[in-house]
Amino acid sequence: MSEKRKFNIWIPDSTAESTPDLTDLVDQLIYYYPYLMKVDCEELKKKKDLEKESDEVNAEFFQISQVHGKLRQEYGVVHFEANELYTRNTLTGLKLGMLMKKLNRAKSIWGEKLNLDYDSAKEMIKHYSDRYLLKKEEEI
Amino acid sequence: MSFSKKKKYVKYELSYKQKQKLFKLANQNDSNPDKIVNQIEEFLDRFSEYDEEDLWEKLLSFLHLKMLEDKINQKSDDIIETKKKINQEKKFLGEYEEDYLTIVELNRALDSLNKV
Repeated sequence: MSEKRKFNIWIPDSTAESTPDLTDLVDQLIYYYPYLMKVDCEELKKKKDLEKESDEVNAEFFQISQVHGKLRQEYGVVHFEANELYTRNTLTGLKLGMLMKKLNRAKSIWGEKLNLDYDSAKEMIKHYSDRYLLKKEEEI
Repeated sequence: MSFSKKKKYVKYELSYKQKQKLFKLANQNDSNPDKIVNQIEEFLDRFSEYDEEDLWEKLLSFLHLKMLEDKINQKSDDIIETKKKINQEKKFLGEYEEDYLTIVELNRALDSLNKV
């Protein structure tokens, strides 16, 4: 769409005459465009308690905004903490992996002497590495 | 648009800023700028049939209300979604804490094994 193209809006004379600021009028119409189609002028003319309704909705909006804000904040904190712990666990897992490599070499030298502890440690490390890989896949 | 022959119209040319907003609106609503301009003109045409004083003020209040109601609905949906996410993160946090403690234990065990 060319930005040089001109766009005109034809405003009925009577409306233009009773509107002091046409720029403001068009600004508002564009701003509220998604709601314009919902306006029933006949219904609007009959409406009397708009101010009261407005106060109520404003209060409701204020209240829900507060709840929403607090929850978003809580989510931010929990998400940060969980993320930090997850990263820490992953890093520790990597270090453990390196340690396992050393142990692997040790096992090949020392053989059966290490068997019991070595196997349970290996099982546990496999469990955690699978678990973190799975979590990583979920996140992707 | 099909203009009423009985009525007179004033031509208003959109400013650069208003055109930008128009393009943005067209994108957001999966529409095109010409269609939006037409809809606005049609609305103005309907609106001009009512020559009641303060109707413009009423209209602005009404539109503002509709927008607020929409925002309230969006926020309510987001609140439900955020609550779900918080619970999930708390669950993860619990699991990670448990993992962390086990990993620390494991690290100690491996460390002592390494020293054998």
